[in-house]
Amino acid sequence: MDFTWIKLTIGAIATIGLYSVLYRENKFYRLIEHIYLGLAAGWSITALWTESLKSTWWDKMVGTPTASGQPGTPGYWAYILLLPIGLMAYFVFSRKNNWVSRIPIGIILGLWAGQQADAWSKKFLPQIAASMKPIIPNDAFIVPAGTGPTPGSLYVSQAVTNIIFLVTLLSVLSYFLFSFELKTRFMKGMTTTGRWLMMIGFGAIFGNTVMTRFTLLIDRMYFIWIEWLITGTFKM
Amino acid sequence: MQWADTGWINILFVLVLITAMLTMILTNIKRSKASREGLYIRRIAGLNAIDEAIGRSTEMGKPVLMVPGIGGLNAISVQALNIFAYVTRTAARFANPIRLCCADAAVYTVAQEIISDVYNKEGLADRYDQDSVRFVSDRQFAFAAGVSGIILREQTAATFFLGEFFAESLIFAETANSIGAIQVASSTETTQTPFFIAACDYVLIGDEFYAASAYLSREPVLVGSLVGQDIGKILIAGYVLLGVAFNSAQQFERTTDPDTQTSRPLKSDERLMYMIFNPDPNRGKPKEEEEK
Amino acid sequence: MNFLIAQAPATPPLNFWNGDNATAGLWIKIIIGLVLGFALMIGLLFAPTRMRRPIVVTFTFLAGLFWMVQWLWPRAGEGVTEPTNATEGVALWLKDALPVVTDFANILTAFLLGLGIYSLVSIHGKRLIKKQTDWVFSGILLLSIVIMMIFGYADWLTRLGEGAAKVELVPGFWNRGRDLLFDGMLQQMDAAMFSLIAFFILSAAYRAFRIRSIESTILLSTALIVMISIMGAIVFMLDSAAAPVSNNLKLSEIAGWITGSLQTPAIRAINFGVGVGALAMGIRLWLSLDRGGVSG
Repeated sequence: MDFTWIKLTIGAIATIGLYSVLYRENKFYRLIEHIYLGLAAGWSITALWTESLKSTWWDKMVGTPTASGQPGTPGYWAYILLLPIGLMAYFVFSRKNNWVSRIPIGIILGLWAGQQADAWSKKFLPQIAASMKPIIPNDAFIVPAGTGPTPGSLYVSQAVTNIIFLVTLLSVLSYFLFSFELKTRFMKGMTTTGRWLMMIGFGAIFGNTVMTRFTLLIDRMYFIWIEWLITGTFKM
Repeated sequence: MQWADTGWINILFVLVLITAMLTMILTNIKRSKASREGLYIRRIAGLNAIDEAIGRSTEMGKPVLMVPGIGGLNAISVQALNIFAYVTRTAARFANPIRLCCADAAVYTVAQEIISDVYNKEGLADRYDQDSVRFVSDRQFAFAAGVSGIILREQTAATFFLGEFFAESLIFAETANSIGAIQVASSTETTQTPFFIAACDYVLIGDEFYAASAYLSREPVLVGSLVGQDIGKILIAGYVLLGVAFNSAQQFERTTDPDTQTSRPLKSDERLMYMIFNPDPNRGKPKEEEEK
Repeated sequence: MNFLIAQAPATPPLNFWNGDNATAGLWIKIIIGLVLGFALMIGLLFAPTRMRRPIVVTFTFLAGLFWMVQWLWPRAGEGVTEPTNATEGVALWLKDALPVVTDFANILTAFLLGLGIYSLVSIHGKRLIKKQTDWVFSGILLLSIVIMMIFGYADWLTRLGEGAAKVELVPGFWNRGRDLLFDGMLQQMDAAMFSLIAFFILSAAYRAFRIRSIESTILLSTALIVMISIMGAIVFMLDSAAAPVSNNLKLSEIAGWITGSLQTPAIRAINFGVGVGALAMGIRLWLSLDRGGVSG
């Protein structure tokens, strides 16, 4: 009954408890679920101070003393103003003054919203640039064997792939036009194609993810059968 | 090519997008004041299913479950809550119980505010139960376990998973499916959409999620914004096509390679479009010597 | 030894906004700030009804304005520390303020966690007191919160300062307890829930397979091709059969082509739409254009 074994056993019981939901909802699952939620909340409260507020707020407000090798930093008192602003959110349950809670919410959302233009440029401009693929070939039909592609050359096979890329991009984009009534057969065909091409994209994601999920399951099975049962319990 | 290297073209493009949206919002407010006729919005199947789903849960006398994703407080969770406000309004009229489970305390705060507001505006403040909007956990899989428990124990008849979902999406969707609930789902994370498509009855794909509030409320600001977003997408498509044209044309421009002294086509990083997207004020200037 | 002095972190000069650690001057400033902050909060409670929306709108706008200005304002040149004109002055101020403002949203969100915990405690507390269904489990949940908090915090205290190295060598009662609760339970539970998805993915795929619509057929056949292309043994067999015909018929090539030429543009197009939607929503939230919902 050493510490490691107890730790493994508790982990195994918790795992089996959570797995039991696959059969049906039962008291064992309910017990583990409530412990899980409790531990998670308790950990959040601890981490709130130890991993978040202490370093991002408190230390900056009161400063840090000179420690071995590290010079102290001065504190910036104005950080204290964030506390009353944050506490305003607690008015949410007040019938008369619940509007006050919208101030911290408004500030959080405002801070988020203000960053969007910059965030959009950083995320999407490179993607727009990467989509501007040339489509007119300037070289032979396929890459010559042996020598490899010449810099700056666009072979016919690559050009065809680029055209397919462009058509996919535009037809999927056309599917997301909501406010234009698409009356021509061409546009209607384009959005339908867009939807089907989208399904190919989703299928590829699906296929790629299945394997990683099974790796997780195998990991868990290894934990239960090998780590806990065979090496942990029966010491084989 | 110095004019391309200041980086202002990139900022200009984003500003044009924003201006297009703001202009459409303003014109639409004006237009809707002039006539009451609404603008066209194409049919979105997942949104028409909302009433059907609530209707069914009323018949069965079971609660409606809503989950605004596991992300923090941002446009995605706010948009999810805006749609849930609509769902709640319908549910409140039929005295149908609701459950709104949050994974973030800030989102929980906003949800309390919005949902109690819905009940107050409907004049049904006495029907509002503060505990129907709850914070479950801010830990991803603890949240998944908790919400699964609620789905299974309370046998929710209609479930709405709208917002930012990650790996846990499938746990929710399959659990809800196992008890035969109608599910309307949407994740702004494209990596999760395929799982919702496989497991749920109705899925809002991509920015159908953002179109939802305009579709449901037909408010001038939202409809105007939707038109602006469409123009934005057309602008992006146009920009891509322009870039394709430029890059295709420059395929035929030749240059002398400084290393081999032979003639070859321009490499991709020597073309105009590359320079516009990768502004570098020092491009073309002679490199400074390493040691002064 | 000149380079040593140059590398030492410069202590910022003291001014109105700061004070040395643990000095009375700093504490007085903090307390005055706290009093002022609460005075502002109480003052807001007396704001007339018609002023409420403008107040919220102003706070939201100012919070967003910082980031918009930060995005659009010209940057000061590299190595410029003393402003030569007003533009550079603002640019340098923005640069200094950036790391400070970056944390604001996180700090404010952190203060809100109490509301979430309140929700948990009140729901389960009521259930426990009124002895409603499952009150035992609610009690266990509340107990778990307290235990985790005590062990988590006590463990953190023992690791402060010089303690960390000592704890690594000889873990004490609190450290063992935290290890059991956090590593032994919480993280194992995370892994267990995560791995459950493998079962769900199979049942979801099976159901989608039975629907037999064009769309689900497209989705699942693509998924199948890509999935098989990751399985080493099968790929090896198929590829060695295809190699004599053409390299392009290799399964890995086909799957790579699907990913590069169909998945990437399709998903990118969806993301363009989502991105524009989020940008539009961001602008509407910043300027409080929406009626109803959060903007009131």
